[in-house]
Parts: sequence; structure tokens; C-alpha cells
Amino acid sequence: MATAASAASSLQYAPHGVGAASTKKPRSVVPAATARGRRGSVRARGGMAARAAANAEAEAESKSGGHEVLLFEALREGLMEEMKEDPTVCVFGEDVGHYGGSYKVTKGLAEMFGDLRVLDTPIAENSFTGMGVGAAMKGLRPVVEGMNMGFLLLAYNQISNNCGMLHYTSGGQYKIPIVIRGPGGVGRQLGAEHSQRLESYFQSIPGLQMVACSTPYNAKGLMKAAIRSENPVVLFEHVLLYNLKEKIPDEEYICCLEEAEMVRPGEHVTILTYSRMRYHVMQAAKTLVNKGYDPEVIDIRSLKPFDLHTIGNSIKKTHRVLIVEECMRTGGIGASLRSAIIDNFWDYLDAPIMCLSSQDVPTPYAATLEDATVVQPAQIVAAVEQICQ
Amino acid sequence: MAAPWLARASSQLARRAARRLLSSPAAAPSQHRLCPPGPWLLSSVPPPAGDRRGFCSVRRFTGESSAAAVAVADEEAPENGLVAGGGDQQAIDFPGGKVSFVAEMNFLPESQRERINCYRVLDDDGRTISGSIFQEVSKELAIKMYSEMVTLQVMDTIFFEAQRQGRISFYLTSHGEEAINIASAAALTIDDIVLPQMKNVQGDFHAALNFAAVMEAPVIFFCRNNGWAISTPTNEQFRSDGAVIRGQAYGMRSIRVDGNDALAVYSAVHTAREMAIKEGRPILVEALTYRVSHHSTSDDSTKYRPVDEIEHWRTVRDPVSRYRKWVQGNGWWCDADESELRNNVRQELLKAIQVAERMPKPPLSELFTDVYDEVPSNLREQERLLRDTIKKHPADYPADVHI
Repeated sequence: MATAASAASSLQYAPHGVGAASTKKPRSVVPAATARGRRGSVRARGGMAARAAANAEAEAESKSGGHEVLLFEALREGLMEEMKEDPTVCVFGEDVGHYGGSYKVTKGLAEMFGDLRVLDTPIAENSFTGMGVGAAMKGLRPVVEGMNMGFLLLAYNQISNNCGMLHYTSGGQYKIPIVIRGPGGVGRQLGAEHSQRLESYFQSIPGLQMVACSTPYNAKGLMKAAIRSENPVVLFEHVLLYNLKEKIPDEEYICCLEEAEMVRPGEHVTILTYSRMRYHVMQAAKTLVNKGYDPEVIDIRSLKPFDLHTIGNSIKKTHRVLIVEECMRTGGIGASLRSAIIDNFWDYLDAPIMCLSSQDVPTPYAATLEDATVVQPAQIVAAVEQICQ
Repeated sequence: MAAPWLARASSQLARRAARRLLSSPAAAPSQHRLCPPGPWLLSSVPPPAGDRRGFCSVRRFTGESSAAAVAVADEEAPENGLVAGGGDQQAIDFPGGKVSFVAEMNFLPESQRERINCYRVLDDDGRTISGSIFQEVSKELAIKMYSEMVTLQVMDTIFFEAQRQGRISFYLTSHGEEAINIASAAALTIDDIVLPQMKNVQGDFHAALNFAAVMEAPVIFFCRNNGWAISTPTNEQFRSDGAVIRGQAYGMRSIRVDGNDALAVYSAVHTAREMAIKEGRPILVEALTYRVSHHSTSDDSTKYRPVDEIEHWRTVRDPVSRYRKWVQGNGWWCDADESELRNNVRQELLKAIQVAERMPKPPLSELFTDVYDEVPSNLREQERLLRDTIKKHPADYPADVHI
């Protein structure tokens, strides 16, 4: 179990392995050396994520220089490229037009593509999502932005009954190549209604696909793939990850919607996570490595369907699983993932699957309580130690 | 390929936006960046400096007071922000437009003294009311409309019976509302998209009207007010004067029409369509009628309304016979035509039922196709499990489903 020597240095970022992006060239993660940590004006958790990225050693295989972007800029690049390529791609949402979007993902696009193609909508999520479905049925490829994922609960009827089901109930006559995206997850004192994890609620809807981005690289790649998909895709972004910086390739690339991302190969335990928790896991991984553990970290990325191929190969190797999620304990992605693993890989498990989740409570406004509801690196370390006994 | 109406709509908006910009003193045409040609003709016209309202800020109100207020405001702009409105009143420039002040508190009444009038062309005996204005129909179109109304009537009778015989699971009839179905469709073209909904007025309706007005979409909102939502009468559903009164609340033109008058429905929709297309605006049409039928095959409406009321509307106010009288009055139809038509339609429908009943049920694979564009591995696995189960327990599954 002791692999102290190589572990002492830092986090290893593998070249994009099992979940290889379907691009022409292999990619590498060249994380931000110029992370926000240097700038000094870093809040605790944002800084931790940035420092985690900054401390990683890069295995540079990038064929060209690449360029640095923040995650929200990567999303915009992906969106802009697709809008340039395909005139049917359009954007609907509140304040996406001249305001440029609440998180600046659509900044400049209205000037570039016009007011109709980057359309400011009145405040009625159910209605503009429905409008997106109607547009998709008639041959457009809308990208519907929820200012916060939580607001899309108002559009649940459209997402479930129309996005999810119209292809089926029309006998394949209508396709709904819509992308529904927006920031979710627990932020910083945004309050219960603005701190939701909608992937829990949507995961049961048949006909829907769900992905969660976590780095500028996969944000751009998933955005492009989601737009190109003929199926309705929900792209989960996270409120606290928009300012992550990373160098991404200059060449065009997309990520595969159904594939998980190998973040750190290891031998002792499979840690499955996604979105912001990836950074808490990698922070814990540093500590674990110092303690002599060798965790394999997989960012599952594809929340519906799960990439059971990548996940299965990992479990067959490590025989131990820890799931780290931001969803609540009941009915979250972790609950479903646990179930899927038991169904498929029971024989390979040497220990019960552990799952770290948020409690079944509305997210508190008080900062200390809010911290307590989100899984922290210390818990992850303790869980791995327990699992590996 | 985006629908052709979009090109027309965007040019409407482009023209309006251009007009607004050119009339504004801050217009700087050299700053326009034109988009590549395509359906997205509204190019990147930046809003005038200081105007953050975007392209939808063009006012559509046609009232005199607002026009006057606008005209005055353009001439004088005193420093205190107050502008002289009409007479002694002052007006101030709140977001959304100028409003005049008034010294008394005047609550708008919850309803107008009189209900909005209802447009009709044919009287109860199928004669055109003198002085009425309507869209002329050719003999061919008139007969086609009538035949379709009869077809709908016969179809409803046959399929309602079929449901009672257990041959279909569920059916909704349109008794008493045939003129609405047929005459509204007759006024559209084959390229127009119809999105019918069996939906009583819900939240989506209100937001949709609002969106359509803001975005100047060429849409006709056709509201069939038949008096009932299953067992709930309209006075328990809303307190406003029906649906037509809501048009103005959303900044939309609207009309109320006698839904049992095929000619009136046809004319109203025909004109609404022209307005929607030429002017790039949505129109609300409320057709008043009475739901003669039960809500569906699962309902017995005699439980909540008097039988003689239903009978009255079924006979005296029947839209089909009313329109027939008009068509016959023009010399375009006779009794022989009538029996021949009803006979033929009945035979056609019975034959259609027989053909449909003989068609094979969908195979098992169709349970899993079209959920996504391609069947993903998890669904393939679920299909495999289901087939296994059926193979092991064939007696527990219907024999006519092809595995």
C-alpha cells in the first residue's frame, strides 16, 4: 500500500486515458500554472481548487501552444464555434443578449449573431423552455440557459414531458436537439432555493441525457458535443467553477458525452465524483498520497447514462468504491450510481460501496452551516482510510 | 432550415429597429455590423447609447394619450424630468413609457359595464344577417367545409360507440363545436402549423400570450370557450369576461366570435391570419360555444348539468345544421347530397376501423426505440431482460405482441 515515493510530489494528471475525447489528437491537461492563487484575491474554496490545479504536474503533450481560458470563456468559445458553424444554433434565456448573461457565458454573442439568435426572454422558464422545444421540433438547435439551475424546476413539465418524451411519443418524427444549461450546485450563501442539485430530479426522465462539466477543457468539449447531439442534453455547470483557468488546445475538439474522465489513475480505491466535488477529491487525494494511499479518481462527467465501462474497469482493478457527490443523500446521483455498481460489479467488490453526500436538508444560508452540508476533503480522506482497512 | 415566417418576422423587427435607430439623434449607422445573410436578418444593431431596453422596446400602444405624451416629450425635455401632458396634467417618464398623473384615486373596475361583443354573420336559421361583413367563400370551399363538419359528426358518433364497445380505450367528441374545428382550419393554409391542445387555460397560456406580444410573433391564439372544464363551469374558472378580455392585458389584439357560426369563425381566422402575417403580431380569437358532448368517454355530464340545457344546444343551436341551411340557401346542397354524404362517410369510417383493427400491434422492440436517437446500451440490456422474461413466462404476456 505504501507508494510514498512517487506520491510525495503532487497530483498526477494522466493524459486523457480511458475516457478519451473523440478528437483527432490526444489531449493533455496542462493545468493553470498561473492559477488565481497568485493573484491573492482568492476566497477560501475557489483558491483551493485553483491551487489544486496549479500544483499538478503537467504531462505536456499538447501539439501547439494552446491558450488559457477561464471556464466560462471556454463555454462561450464552444458555443460561439458551434453558432458560427451551424446557423440553426441559437440561444434563449434571461439576460443572455445584450447583458451577455449573468455569468458572461454569452457575452458578445448578441452583437455577433443578432438579437433573434441570442434571444432575451421574459421571466417564464416554463415558457421559454417550451419555446426551445418548439424551436427544436421545427429544425433549430436551441441552447436554453437557466440563470440558475434551480429556476428550471419551473420548467420541469417541459423538460420531462416535452424534451424527454416527444421523440418517443411522436414515433421518432420529432427530434429535440436542445441543450439546457446553467449553473447549479451549492455556491456561497446563495440560499436554499439557489443552491440546488437538479441532476437528482432529472435523472429519472427517459429520453434525456445529462452531463456535468468541471474544467475549462471539458466545459468547451461538452458544450460542443451537447449542441451536436440529436438528443436533449442537460449540461450542468457549477456556480463556483466559472473562473477556473486552464490552457486548452487551439485546435478544435469535442468531448464524448457518454464518457467519464480519468483524473488520476491509482490502485487502491476508485473514487467517483463530478463537478465541484472533483476538486475536493483531488485535494483529499494529495493528503491521501502523503499518507501512502493510491486513489484512482474518476470524474464521471456523464450523469445519464453512466459510463459503466470506465467505472467498471476501475472497480475490477481496485475492488473498492467511494462516491463523492454534492447531491443529497436521498435520491441523488450517488444513490443511482451505487445501485448500478451493485447490479453490474457486485462480484468485484471487496467492501461495501461508500457514498459521501450532502444531508437531506435545504442548503442553509449561514456560511458555517453551508460548509457543513458540503462534503469536505477531510471527510473524503477519512472515508478512504475506512474503506481501505 | 428555419421556417420561412422567421425571415419575414426578422425583417419586420429589423425594419423597426432600423427605423428606431435612424430616428434617434444618437444613430451611428457606420457602427452597424451586418451578419452573414440567412434567416437571421436582424443584424447586430446595437441599441442607442443609454437605451438598455433592447430591440423589443418599440411601443405598440395605439392610444392617443401615449402618442401625445411621446410627441410632447420629444420636443421639450425640462430638467426636472417632468413633461407637460394633455391639459393641466403632468406626465413623467417611468420605465415602460410616459404616464400622466391624476389627483384622484380611480380604481379601474373589475369588469366593464358591458361584455365584449360577439361577432356573428349567420342568424340561428342560417341566413346571413343583413349588413354583416364576412370573408366570401367559394361554392367549392363552402361544400368542403360542410362535408368535413358532417364527417366530424359521424366520426364522433361512430368512435364514441366504438369506445363503449371496448374497441378503443378513450375518445373525446366535438359535438356542438364542429364549426370551430373545421372553419378555423379552413382559413389556414397547408403550410401553417397548428398546435392543438386539449388544455384548459393554464399558466402556459398567459406566459405564451405575453411572450408572443413582446416578440411580435405571427401567432393566432385560438381559444375555444365552450363553457366547461369537465364539470367546472367557466364562472368557477375565472372572473374576467372570458378569454377575449385578456388580449389587451398582454398588449394583443383580440376578437370574440360566435363559435357556432362557421362563416364567422372562418372570417375571423382568415382576417387574423392576414394581420398576423402582414403586421407581425399575435392575435387572440375567442370562440364562444357550448360543449354539447360529455367531456370524454369517461364522463357523464348529466351529473352536473341539466339534460334540457344539453338538448337545447344539441338541437336548436347546432352549428352543422345552421351552416347547412346557409349552404342549401345558396343552392349548393340538397337532401340527396346529404344522405349520400352521410352514407359514404359512415362506410369509410367503418372500413377504416376494420383496417386499423387488423393491423399488427407494435413489436416489443418499439418499447425501446426513439427514446434516444439510437438505442443506448442500458436500454438494450433492459430489452434483453424483458425478452428473457417473456420467453420464460409466455402465458403471462399478450400473445399478439411480436417479440
